[in-house]
Amino acid sequence: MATISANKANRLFWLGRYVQRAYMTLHLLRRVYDKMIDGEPTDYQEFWKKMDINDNYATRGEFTLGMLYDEENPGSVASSLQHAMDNAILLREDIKTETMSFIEISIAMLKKQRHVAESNITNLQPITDWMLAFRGSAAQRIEDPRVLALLAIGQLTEKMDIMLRFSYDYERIATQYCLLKTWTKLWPELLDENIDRQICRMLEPETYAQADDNFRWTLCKYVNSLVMV
Amino acid sequence: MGYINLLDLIESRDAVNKWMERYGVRFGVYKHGVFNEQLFPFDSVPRIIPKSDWDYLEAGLKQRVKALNRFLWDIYHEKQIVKDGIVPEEFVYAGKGYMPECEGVDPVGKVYAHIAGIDLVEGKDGQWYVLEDNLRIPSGASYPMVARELCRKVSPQTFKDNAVADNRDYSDLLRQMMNEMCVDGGIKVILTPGRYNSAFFEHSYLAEKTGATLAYPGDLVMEEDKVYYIGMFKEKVRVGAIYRRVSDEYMDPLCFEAQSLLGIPGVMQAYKAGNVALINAIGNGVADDKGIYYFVPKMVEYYLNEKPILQNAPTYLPYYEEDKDYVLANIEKLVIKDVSEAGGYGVMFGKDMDEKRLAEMRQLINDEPRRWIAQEVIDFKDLGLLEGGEMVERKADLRAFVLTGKDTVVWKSGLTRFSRNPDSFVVNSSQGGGFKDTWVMMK
Repeated sequence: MATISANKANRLFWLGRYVQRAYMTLHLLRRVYDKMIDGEPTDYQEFWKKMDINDNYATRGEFTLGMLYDEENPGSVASSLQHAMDNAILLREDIKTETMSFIEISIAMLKKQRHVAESNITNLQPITDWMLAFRGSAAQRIEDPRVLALLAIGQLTEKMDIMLRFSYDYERIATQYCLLKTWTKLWPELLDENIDRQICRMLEPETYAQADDNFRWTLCKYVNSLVMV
Repeated sequence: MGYINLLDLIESRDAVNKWMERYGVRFGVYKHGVFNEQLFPFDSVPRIIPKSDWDYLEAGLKQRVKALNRFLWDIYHEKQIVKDGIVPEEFVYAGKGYMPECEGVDPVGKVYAHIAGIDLVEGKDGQWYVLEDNLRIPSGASYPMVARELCRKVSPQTFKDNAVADNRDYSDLLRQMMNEMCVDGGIKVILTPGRYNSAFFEHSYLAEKTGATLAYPGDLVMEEDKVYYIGMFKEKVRVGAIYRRVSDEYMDPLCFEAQSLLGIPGVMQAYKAGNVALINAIGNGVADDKGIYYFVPKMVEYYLNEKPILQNAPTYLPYYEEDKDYVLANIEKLVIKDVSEAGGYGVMFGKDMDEKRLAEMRQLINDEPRRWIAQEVIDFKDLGLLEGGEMVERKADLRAFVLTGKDTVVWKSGLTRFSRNPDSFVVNSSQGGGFKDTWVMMK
């Protein structure tokens, strides 16, 4: 197994995060979309507050277009995919051309859909499928388990971050943390031990049961500082 | 050569191009200081080389590259070819490609040009001519390699029906050569200047296919005459061979361009100590200078005691009075090349110049005869390609790749580049050209 440079480790971690962010953003947008079918037309506002996005979209239409296609919006699907690509392009030899290609075709599809007047998020289902295919391809094709681990650590970090923002159940968050810790067994040096201890304390069932928004934001901050790449 | 049915392959062109987009097969171009990545236009009608032609080319290419490697060794050691008056010293030491820092350095296995890209054209009479030798960082092999992979995917029947040599072994040839050159069991790396290099796709694709580590500036350090790859926890792994895609002058800021951030400080020290192989060697520019080109057939005779198999395009050196007189008298029918330029730049056709420009050119040749070469315009064979659903004919060349490790081998394919402009002979991708796959027939 070849040595992995610090820059490469950083790119793998962020590639994992951005792919996960694109996937989760689409997933959550579908839920908001569903809610707005027979809910309040302003239900979308809660979404961008949780995502900590500064842009205040005036209408539901603007919100949809902005969250999907606006590359300037760091929380948009377009931005996440582009950032994923910026990392992937420098990792071809590790993740393989076929794995990279799922990001490439997702970006191409998003660019094409942007110009479709009646843009419906359902049309973007293939991007969700390709993000899943990306993971499958990575698992099949990556030969170095440490490379796969760095990708998975990035994905799980991002997943925990978003789940905490959207107040997912304790069990689901604790499971992700358990998975993340499993992957870090290949790279124990990557974890900040102090932060790890803090997270473990906060993820005690009794402690978490008392969680409010502030608690979750603090936990989210710890999760984002846990891995040192 | 029997009848070859290409209809299915031709109809699959769009599918191949879509796959190329999906695989990110691009090249970068700087225009007005702005970097853009674009697809390399691919035409699915291949260049087909019959076996008999290939046998001739293969023998000639091996012979030529062997002579060039001998020349490089000689120039940086005994300089016998200069002493014997075969190549004038002005053409060796005045060129930009000569690197005095390489004097007396013994590269691993005495190999300088591990990867040579030899540009050829086929005349209308079927005669092949060498146009240029590229011994520094010849690029382009990855494109026909990936194109073949995709053509086989979209049109398998075409390859079932035709006995075409499989060209997807380029990465195996490259890996084997790197293994043979590798010092002390170190790792093999491909050193790229980074994403904003025009050939970055190729660097990353070849790293993927050879299993070499793609190294960026800053990933490698030299310590105690050895080169190391630095891991994320500062651990050091010995490097045995560097397939560098960084130009000579940027490879070592302690030796060449002091401002360079692309190279490895001190790498020349490790190289001189024989502790790392540089692929290709530093200083090869002295042998692929457009002026030196004229002397390559003479090198074949001098070093190998053989008749040159491949022909140069008829070339004149204004450095010699007799040639200068001919060039000045016939300039309007010749192509004039500035020996210091590359990539299709500095190439001027006399037929395209008005009287004023011709007079200026004559003056320039008189003032600096060493700077120019002149060649007869070869009426080279046009190749058919699809444009807007119609077959049209365009000028095309062939870059053949010759790899030298313990042995010299010729890759059974090559990069066929074509001009998209019907009036142009310039095929370079940087100037809008496209590419084709190159088929070498097995029978």
